Amino acid sequence: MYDRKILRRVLKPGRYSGGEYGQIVKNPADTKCSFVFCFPDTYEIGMSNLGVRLLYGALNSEPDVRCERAYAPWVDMEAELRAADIPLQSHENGQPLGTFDIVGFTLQYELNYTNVLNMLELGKIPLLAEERGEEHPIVIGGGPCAYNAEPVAEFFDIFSIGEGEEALVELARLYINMKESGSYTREAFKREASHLAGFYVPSLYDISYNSDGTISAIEPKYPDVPVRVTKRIIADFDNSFFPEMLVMPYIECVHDRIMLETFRGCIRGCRFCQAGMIFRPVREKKAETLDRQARELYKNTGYDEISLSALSISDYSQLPELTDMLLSWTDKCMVNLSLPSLRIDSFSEELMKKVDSVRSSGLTFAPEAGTQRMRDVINKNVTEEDLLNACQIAFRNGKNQIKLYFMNGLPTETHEDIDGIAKLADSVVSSYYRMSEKPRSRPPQVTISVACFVPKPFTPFQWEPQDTLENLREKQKHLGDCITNRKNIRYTWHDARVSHVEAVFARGDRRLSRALLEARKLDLKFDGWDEHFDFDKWMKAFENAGIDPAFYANREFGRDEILPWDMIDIGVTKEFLLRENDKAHLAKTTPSCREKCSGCGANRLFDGDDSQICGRCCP
Amino acid sequence: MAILEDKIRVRFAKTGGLQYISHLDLMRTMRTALKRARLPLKYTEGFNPHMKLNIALPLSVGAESVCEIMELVLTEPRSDAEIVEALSGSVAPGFIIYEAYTPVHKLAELGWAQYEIRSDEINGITAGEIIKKLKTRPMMVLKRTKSGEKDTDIAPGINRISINSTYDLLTLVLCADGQNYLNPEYVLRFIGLEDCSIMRTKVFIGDAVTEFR
Repeated sequence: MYDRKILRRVLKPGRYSGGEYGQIVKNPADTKCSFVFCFPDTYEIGMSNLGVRLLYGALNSEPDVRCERAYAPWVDMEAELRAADIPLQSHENGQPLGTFDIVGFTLQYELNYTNVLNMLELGKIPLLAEERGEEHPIVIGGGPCAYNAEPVAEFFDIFSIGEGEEALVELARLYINMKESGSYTREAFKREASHLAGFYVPSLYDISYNSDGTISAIEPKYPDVPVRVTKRIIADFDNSFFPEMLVMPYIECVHDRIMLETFRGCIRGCRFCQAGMIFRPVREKKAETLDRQARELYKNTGYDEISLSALSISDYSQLPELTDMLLSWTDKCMVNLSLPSLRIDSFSEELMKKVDSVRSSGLTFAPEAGTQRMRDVINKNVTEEDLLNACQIAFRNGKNQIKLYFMNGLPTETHEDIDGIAKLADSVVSSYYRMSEKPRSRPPQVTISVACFVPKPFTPFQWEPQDTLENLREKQKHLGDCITNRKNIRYTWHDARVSHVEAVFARGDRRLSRALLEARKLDLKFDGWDEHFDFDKWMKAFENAGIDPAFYANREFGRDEILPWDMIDIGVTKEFLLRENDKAHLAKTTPSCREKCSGCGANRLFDGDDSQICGRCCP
Repeated sequence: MAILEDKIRVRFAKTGGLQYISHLDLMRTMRTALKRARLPLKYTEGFNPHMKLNIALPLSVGAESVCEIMELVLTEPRSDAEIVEALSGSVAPGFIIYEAYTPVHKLAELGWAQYEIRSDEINGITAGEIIKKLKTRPMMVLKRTKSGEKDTDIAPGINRISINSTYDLLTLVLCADGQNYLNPEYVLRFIGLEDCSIMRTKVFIGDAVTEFR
């Protein structure tokens, strides 16, 4: 535990003091492998993350493995730690990061990378993997950004690709076996790990470049190292590990509730969406399983809210049954049931009433684009009529606040598409006033929230350039000019400069590690936070590193180009992504997996089956 | 003795690492602990029902207490021993559930709180100085109120003090009623004591002598 004098001087010392109910504290003498799970953002954000809670439980269920937690210290705490030369420590046993066997980072967002480096430094661990000695921990990364981990590849020893519940336990077992048999060295361990399914060891690959800066080859250094690393999935998701206990934070967190993961993957295939692709194939949990898990967790935690989690909850095939099962006991126990935003075209009044939280006066929908043509390009198969119907249902039931999510800078976008966003918002407002009977006399409040498109690996748009900063900002301003009804319509937008830096790292390669080292020298951190993001410093970091950010963010990648993430196999094939990209440029839509299989290739992960027939993907 | 029907008070300790969680954090923590304890709690009626739970006095972040008082309402009777056992099994180590009892005084009768202040800077040499400073009248400090910062005389908020310089211990009995709550940190700042440990040890009714029950 940190010194009292320090804790009394910082904001929200509860972020660092630990001692939470539900934490698992093991005696170091009783375990053979120590693991610290590092979340590269604040405590409040880390504690809300479902994946971390899951992996914490999975690792700790092994009696000889100890998994503890660490979070990025806020700037005031970091200053105290540096001034007193105190290393960053874990919550459970207050152990300095650098003395653990394995240090794991979950890579949720590209703008967390500077925090990763900062935490390594504060944990007294050499930043570059090649500089670590036998006395230093093995540093491992996982999570969504690990699918293209190349920008941070030089800082990590191993990456866990895909679902980690079983994989990480296997890695811990390998560690223990090698230590006990006396065969353990860092290099031997990493070499063995590369043989385990789903583990990518970057130091075992050589990357060479063409004169134009594109990649000429990605080659394993030895014949026993796999050419491509296939991601791990839990095939039988219904029976997969699920924690019966959660660490209960004292500090108020973004999400402080039970989250039930109903299914993984997504049937929709929206072309900008990375999550929908990287979590395929679709696997559901049975409603009875989820209800049982919810009851168990409620009994052990006492939370008063249960949230059903999924990329598209409307598509969970047993949603009516599950909500009925849960509602049969949650009302009595004073527990609220909440759903994430529902798809516009499957928004039902019945469902909304069931989970209606009387406190909320608003609903959120994500049309993503302002014209039908643009929505067809991105394969977001909803129409204006669908949206107006959904809004009508909301208005009729007393909800006068509607939030609409959009993106700008999408491939093939024109000003007409931007105008369309404003027109859509106007249609929603006028549909309220056209209603014959208005349940309340309060005027509707429509909020348009516009993010900038960032091309992501493993999506049909992975080759598309991000629109230039000038264009993004010009379009943002243009949209503002199109919105005339400021009484009923609010407009918010994201800082395009943040999205630009995000795009650089999203499609980046290994050479970006130089930029991250420069960013560390310039003391950049918490880039996802408005008050800390410093665009000028980022441009300086890129310049100092000899990197042209536009090469990664704004360049159209060639269809035959070797992509930095080509050594990873997520199941979904590049051929499928290319087909989808072609269709996008013709504004042709693709039906959902449940309507017609499009042969994405994710089903191969079930049993290495190469056939195009998707039998087990959707129930 | 007045008996407040169907209300139960629970006295517990908030010490060690728990000193870093705020009053609101504590309320949320206790709500989930009470649910885990499976006590039949009463909820308010109406639009937005919430648990009928009250934690008597705020405690600053960084201060400890062995007399935190939580008031709850149950819908079914439970013995005092049952409540202590159920709750003890549902809280993190660091919380000590001492007792559950039927209230005697109304919450509004809470008047004074006793704090034990420990610091290296309280010793045989400084004791005299400290006592002298505490006799200053008026005792003006910049107090933060809802309407901003105000120069306030905090002397009326001090009932009595005592120093045990052998044990580097300063004991303060300060006002703890809803309107005029005096945070010990103001007194310590006035005396010039920087790094002290603060522990609330007793609460009294208006006469500053009778224990608040």
